[in-house]
Amino acid sequence: MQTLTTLTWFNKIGLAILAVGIPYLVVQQEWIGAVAWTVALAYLAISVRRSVTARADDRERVAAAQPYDERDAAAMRSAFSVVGQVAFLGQVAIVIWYMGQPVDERILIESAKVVVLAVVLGFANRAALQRA
Amino acid sequence: MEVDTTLPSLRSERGLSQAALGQALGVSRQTINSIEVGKYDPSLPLAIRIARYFDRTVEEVFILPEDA
Repeated sequence: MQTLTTLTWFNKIGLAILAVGIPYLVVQQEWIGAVAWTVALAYLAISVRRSVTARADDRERVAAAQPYDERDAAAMRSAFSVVGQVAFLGQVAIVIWYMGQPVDERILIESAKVVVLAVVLGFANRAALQRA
Repeated sequence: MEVDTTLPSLRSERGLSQAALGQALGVSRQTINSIEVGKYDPSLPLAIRIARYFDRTVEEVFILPEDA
């Protein structure tokens, strides 16, 4: 079957982490985790394998993070942007909710996550503007 | 901004399918279809590649609605 694209770095890292993690979980005798990671590895491998063939449609390629052309890449960037916005706003909502609770280390941890996301957003904006 | 395109007629003049044109330009059939129906505006490099493929200028392939 004709292959259209090579593995993206995103999938290379994902597959490598899963492939290394499974024997580690087996050694640790974490059987449920090992089975879950094996299922995840199989799912990722199958979806990536399908997405790089000429038979795959755009939804399969974008879902598997295997863009073929600029439209696929734009769709992926747009989808990741939505994920980022939801994560940021969700984290801000968690901090606001904790503000009504007695102060403990959780609000510090959750606030630190907002700061990290804001810093990442700042770097991402800067990088995007430099590329544009 | 959405642009109008003469791509469907240029493609049919050459008797090309969307898949064949996509393969020639290194993009998917879905991308050619999206450009033709006005759902996707191609990047400038892709617009130039399309125009060159049909020996036309970019303005002959992609038309701003106010220029139509």
